Amino acid sequence: MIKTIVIPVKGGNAISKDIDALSKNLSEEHTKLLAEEHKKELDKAIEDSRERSLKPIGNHLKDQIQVEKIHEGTSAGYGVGNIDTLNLKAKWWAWLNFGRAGTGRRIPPGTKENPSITGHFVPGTKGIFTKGQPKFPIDPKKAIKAHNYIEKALGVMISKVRELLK
Amino acid sequence: MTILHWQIGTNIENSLIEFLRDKVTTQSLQLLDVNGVAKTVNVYAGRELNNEWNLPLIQLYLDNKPDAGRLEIGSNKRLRSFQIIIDIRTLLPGQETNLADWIEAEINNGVTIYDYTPNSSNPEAPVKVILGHGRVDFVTSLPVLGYDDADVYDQNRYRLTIKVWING
Repeated sequence: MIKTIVIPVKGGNAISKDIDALSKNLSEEHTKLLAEEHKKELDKAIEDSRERSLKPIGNHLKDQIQVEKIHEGTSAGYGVGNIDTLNLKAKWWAWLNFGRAGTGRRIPPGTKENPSITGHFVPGTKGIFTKGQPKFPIDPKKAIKAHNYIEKALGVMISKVRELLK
Repeated sequence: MTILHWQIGTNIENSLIEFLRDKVTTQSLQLLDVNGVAKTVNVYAGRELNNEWNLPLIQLYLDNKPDAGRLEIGSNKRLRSFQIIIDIRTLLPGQETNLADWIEAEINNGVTIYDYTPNSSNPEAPVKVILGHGRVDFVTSLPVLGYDDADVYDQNRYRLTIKVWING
């Protein structure tokens, strides 16, 4: 289909200047659209690979991954997931994705390593360990598996990009 | 009663493992350890790291299937992709990047995908017939940041994510 693009020329600007501005806005809109879609795919990948039910209190990984506007010179773009925020509020982001914590460990710590880690598993919560009374020791032996939620989302996005920008 | 044999996902996973093992063997691919002793590169299957595995190693497994679009309207034939995670773990820093480059070069032209069926007389060597050619797209390629206290398997680690495409 052939479309006619009418570009208003304001204040006697060179047409190339107006085209530049238009394409800049378009690319910024596209980037935002892709970023928002990527966020949805990350949420989905986190949910799909979830092994335990959502903990009732505290920060959740999904909530710490947000779309942010990024300025670089005169250009603006959008990023998904700020590493600084994640390192501060959801330190386990790398552990879940790569199967290895930021400290390098693969098996979570237990009471033997840190006596303050005591608590109990609440029935019917798919294994959420809750600190506090009644206090029992915990001795994790299994490493946390790599959930690869970052790669899962990227894999889907690569195919979606063409579709979204039609 | 029907015993379900390996399906397409496992066939692709194993075809890739076999492809890389063949390349390692034919090229006698080795990496040096800290004492300068040459160590053969091992190729293992599985999402969970096994502490019995020997470094340097290539760990490979099917993670998900992101695409299954119809090839054409009115047909149930689909163009499928199978996303594979390849974790590379080496003994010395820098080797993981070199090994990743080697893998990328080797699989760049795609891989022959086989359909495997069990071989009761020799379970280690299943019968295989060619299923097709798997095209490879690269999704991610980057080192997994290491830490001084990291386990030996995680000190020098690189992750590749690829999509293998096959019609069917």
